[in-house]
Amino acid sequence: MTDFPAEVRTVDVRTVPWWPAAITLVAALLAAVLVPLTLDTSDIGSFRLSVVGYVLGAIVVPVGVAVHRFRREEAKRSPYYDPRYAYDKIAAVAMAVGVLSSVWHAFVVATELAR
Amino acid sequence: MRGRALLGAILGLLLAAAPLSAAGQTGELSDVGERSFADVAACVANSDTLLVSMVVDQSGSLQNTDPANERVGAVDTAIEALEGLRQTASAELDVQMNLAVFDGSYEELVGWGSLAGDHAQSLRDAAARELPVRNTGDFTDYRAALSGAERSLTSRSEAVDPDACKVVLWFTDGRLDVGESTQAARAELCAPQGIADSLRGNHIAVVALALFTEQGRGAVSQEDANLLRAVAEGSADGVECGTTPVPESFSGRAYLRASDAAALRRVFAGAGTLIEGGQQALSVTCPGQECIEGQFRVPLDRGLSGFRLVLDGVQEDRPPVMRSPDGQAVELVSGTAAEVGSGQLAASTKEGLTVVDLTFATGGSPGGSWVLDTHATPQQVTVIDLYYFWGVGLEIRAPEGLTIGESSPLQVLLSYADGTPVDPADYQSLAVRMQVGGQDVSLVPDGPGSYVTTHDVPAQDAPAALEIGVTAEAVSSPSSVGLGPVSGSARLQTVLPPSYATLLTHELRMPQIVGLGTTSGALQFRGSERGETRVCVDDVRIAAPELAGEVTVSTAGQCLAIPANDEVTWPVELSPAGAADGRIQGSLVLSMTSVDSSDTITVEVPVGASMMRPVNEPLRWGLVAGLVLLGLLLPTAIAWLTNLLNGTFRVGPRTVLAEAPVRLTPQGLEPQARTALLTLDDFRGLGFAKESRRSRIDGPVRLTRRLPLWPFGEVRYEAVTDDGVVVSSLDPYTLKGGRRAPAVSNFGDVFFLRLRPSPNEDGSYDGLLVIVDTDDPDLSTVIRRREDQVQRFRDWSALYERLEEQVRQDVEPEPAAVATRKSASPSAPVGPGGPSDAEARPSLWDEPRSSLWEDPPTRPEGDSVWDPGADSGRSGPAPSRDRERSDKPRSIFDD
Repeated sequence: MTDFPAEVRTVDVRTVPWWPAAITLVAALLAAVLVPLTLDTSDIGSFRLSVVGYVLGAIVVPVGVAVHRFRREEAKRSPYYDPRYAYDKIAAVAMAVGVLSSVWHAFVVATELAR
Repeated sequence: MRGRALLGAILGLLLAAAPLSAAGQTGELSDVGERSFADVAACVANSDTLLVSMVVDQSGSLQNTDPANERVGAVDTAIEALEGLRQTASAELDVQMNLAVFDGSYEELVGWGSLAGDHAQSLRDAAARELPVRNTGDFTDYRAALSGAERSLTSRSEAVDPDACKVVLWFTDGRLDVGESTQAARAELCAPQGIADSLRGNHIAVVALALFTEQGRGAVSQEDANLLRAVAEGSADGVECGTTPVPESFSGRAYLRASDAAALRRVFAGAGTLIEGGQQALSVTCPGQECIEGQFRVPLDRGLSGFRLVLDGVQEDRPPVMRSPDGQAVELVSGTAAEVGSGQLAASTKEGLTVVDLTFATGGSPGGSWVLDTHATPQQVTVIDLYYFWGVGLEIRAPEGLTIGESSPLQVLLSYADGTPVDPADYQSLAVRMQVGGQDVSLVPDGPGSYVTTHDVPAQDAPAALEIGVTAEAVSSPSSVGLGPVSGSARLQTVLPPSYATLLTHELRMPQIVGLGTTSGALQFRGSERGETRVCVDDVRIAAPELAGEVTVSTAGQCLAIPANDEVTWPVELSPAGAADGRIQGSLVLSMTSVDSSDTITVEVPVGASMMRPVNEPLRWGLVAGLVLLGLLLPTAIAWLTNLLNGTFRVGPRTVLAEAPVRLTPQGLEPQARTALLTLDDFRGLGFAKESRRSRIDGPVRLTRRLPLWPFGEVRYEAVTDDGVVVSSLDPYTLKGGRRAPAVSNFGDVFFLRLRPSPNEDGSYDGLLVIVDTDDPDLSTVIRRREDQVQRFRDWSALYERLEEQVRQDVEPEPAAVATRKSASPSAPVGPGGPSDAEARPSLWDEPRSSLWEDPPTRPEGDSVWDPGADSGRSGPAPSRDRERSDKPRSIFDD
């Protein structure tokens, strides 16, 4: 029979929370889904949806990414940090999708405002 | 009858008219296109004015698709064809034309004018001068082309003839391309009540003339070609544009395509021929199966009015010869005009195209085969396009009027241009169909060229006019040439019984509303002979785009008294609540009261107007730029702020710094002059009063951050020393000649070594082990954890090699420095960079220096280790943990 050290330490493993990346992804996908729904720039419904799309893509997504990065950096300070690289990728993809979608929505909003 | 006379004039004068158009490449003309050209031809035959807006692409792709500027000749051909049409119609048909170009916007090059006089030459001159240099546009915006043409045609029509036939000859070589807004453009074009519907609803026939090459630069995909076709015709291979199926009341539309620039003239000429009422029959290459030894046989059955041949590739020195059925031969040179039998034969040649017309002005051809000897050889082929002219016209009549509440006869007369009734016996089959208000009605023959039916006009909700459409199709005998459809339409006004006023307005078609505004029209009545009557607005049924909001239809009063025999005008105004794009359509339901007020009849008058909101382009693109910029700046700013906030070290009252004398060998670290690597005395508080974020921590090594230039990049952390060499436990251990080392924001994960840059004789390096940590829960735990961390570190060999490499790299550029360094005493080591460098930075090793440490650690006396505190020349007792300090952290020495 082998004797093991009696001391067993419990540590609090820190990971970046999932929800900022998830919210960012959902916002980006919504902004992207709104693009085909706003192709008719002469329709006032398109303008309304594009305002939503622009806010999602150009504001909510970057804020979500910022929150994700902030929380990740906080978690990194722990010696027991457990990285979640998939969340970083999700946030990066969401940022690209969101910003690109917001360009289209910006065009629709601008078109309506310029009439 | 005027229509037949006009058509007769057209066909008759075609012979005398000089050059008319050649047939184009019409193999792709669809059924919709055929019917549409029939509609246009019918409109031309029944109108006083034909307005043609020629809109030509000026996008940069033309440099690839039409480098020889064949479109100039094509436009010339179209002008010539329309000029010929004007000449054939004599004084009765006024053909007016303008010329415009488009890319991202619409620009009129030549304004409106009648093709009589100098205007045709002005158009030609402008085409020759402008079009070759108009090929640099960035975009191909169909919206700009069609909206511009619609505006121009509408305003011209309002100015000269509200009932004018309106045609857009729209030439493009490229796919719809408006950059990022291409999808938006497509939606604007093709949405119900969008731009395409607006043109159709305004009875503007769109003839799209496409130069779509299939290969090379500028080639257009089938999908893009289908879109153009759908914009013109409503649908194409599953692609739809506008309201589909296209309502019967909408105007005609057609699509013709050239697969190379050389065929453009033929396509434009074909469009002209089709507008005249020609029907494409055959396109052959001579010699070939249908043109053996260059002899092309043209069957001309009874009941046809003639044919047109367009010859491309005729030998200039051997003109073709036409032989009649009775053997008479005529050499076809430019300007030929000969009477052959009862027909008129004419030929004209221009720039390689020869057009041959044979026309029988009275009662159709007697039949027989004509033979064209092209003299073509396999080495010099001739392409022949054959068009037949049926040459019949339709007249729709209501001989006794269409009285509301009664059954009235309707009659269709089918006759040749000279008025000769069409004899059904001349054809294998002849079918005449009628639609009244969109409903099929059966016709019965009633003598030569006459078909009749009866129609009941309801007493309630009676239309102000009945829309009646008739089409006739036939198959000739014996050659089985399909003829038609020839179409005709009429709006026959319904008539109220004599005790009511007469409604003189069939339909209220009001001017376009641009932006926020109103439009107006007027209803006209003629009073009953029997006394005063009355009309009231009973109901308004209006459909408008959503943005238009509520559309108010206002009249001068709810009711109007109409005196006997007086003609009265009743203004009507349409006022949408907002600006919108699309069409307002609906009807006014009028309640007409009889003279003795005993009966009331309701009549429905269609009302319509198009709406357009002009886009302020500079403002739009300015807003796009602003919003996109905001959309990019915002995440950039947030990312930068995140880095600024996150790129910090979290410190507090319990943050401690340890520095312990060590010696680095390739095998690892060993304490200097003592047994333990770390002791409690090595630690001191950093003096932070509260939890905070710091971008830098000063000490034996300075922990700092480096913000990335790219705000979405990661913040880098570094340990920096101005004296000696700094090494960390993170790969690549040390950088920049040993002056920097990688770090992380969590300083608990890393330890640092600040070493003398010159090794001892045994190759080891003396220096300090530097640790920043948090005394949580107590320093003993920190010491255990840190010693464990050092023991578990396995890359000492790599770290040592890296250190050597960096130190060498720093010294090698100055070979003299190496020699000096070897001879230097340990107390005066040569710093990185050689002697001069050592002289420049002597503080750590030789001279008193400004302190790196506010609170240097205590060193054992007599120890041989490198002691930066001693080097610094400080005097007095070394500070210990027991010393009172005003900024002493409250935590690290307290239990």
